[in-house]
Amino acid sequence: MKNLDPLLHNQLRLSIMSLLTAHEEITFTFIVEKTEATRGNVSVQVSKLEEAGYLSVKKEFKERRPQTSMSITQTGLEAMDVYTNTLKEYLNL
Amino acid sequence: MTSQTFDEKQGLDTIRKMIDSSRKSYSETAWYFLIWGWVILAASLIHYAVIQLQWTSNPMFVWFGALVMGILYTVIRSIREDRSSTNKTFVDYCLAGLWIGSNGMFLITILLGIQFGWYVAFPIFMAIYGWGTFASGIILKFRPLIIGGIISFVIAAVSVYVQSEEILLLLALSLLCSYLIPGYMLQNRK
Repeated sequence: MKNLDPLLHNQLRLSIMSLLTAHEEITFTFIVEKTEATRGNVSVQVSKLEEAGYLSVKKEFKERRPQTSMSITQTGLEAMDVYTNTLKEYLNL
Repeated sequence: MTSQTFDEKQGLDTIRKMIDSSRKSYSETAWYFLIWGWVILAASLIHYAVIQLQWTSNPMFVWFGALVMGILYTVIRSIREDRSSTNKTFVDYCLAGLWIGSNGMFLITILLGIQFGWYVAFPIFMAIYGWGTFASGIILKFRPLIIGGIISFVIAAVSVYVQSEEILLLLALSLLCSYLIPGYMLQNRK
């Protein structure tokens, strides 16, 4: 049986990636609201996922306010696909 | 939420929980069906009344006014909603693509109406209403829209054989069945 991707097998990082698979693009604030994690913690995990190439971050000004938004990359989608299939194997689903 | 590792069952639960939390009711998209439903229904009934009462020889001004009002409202509201929401799901993108594409079809049908007459164009308008509503119903998994779309297809087929001003009443009926009734049901959807 394959090993679970250690980068994804973490509650907060997996939550972020799950939200990204359901959306074309989401804001940093949206992730904080949905995961109920601290902004600092979300920021650290987003950086790790970005370094792995699983998501891409966009910083822009919207209505004169800075806004950070992100979207999942093809690498991230493939990693999530492998991760969920491996999970199913572990759980005999 | 902390960033500790966890077991496989929790992993699956986390994915489910986050995807469930992303689900929208899409009741907020009902405004599109309601505004266009009322605008076109009103225009078709006024057009019919103008013909019956012989108010003017050119009743197409009714459509010009209706389209300008509808387009202005739609553009302003869409821009406002786009500004306020960045968290778009793939369903949002499917719906946007579907209706932007449909608008292209509406434009072609208007040209067809100008060139070959409105009795040719009206059945195609009804078919486009039916197609957009049916496809939206499939995307949103909302049966009233699917049924409304099918009814609109049937009315469009019937209207091909009604080459008189009564076609305007069929157009109004098509809007009632495919936009207004499902639109209000969608608005009240939890």
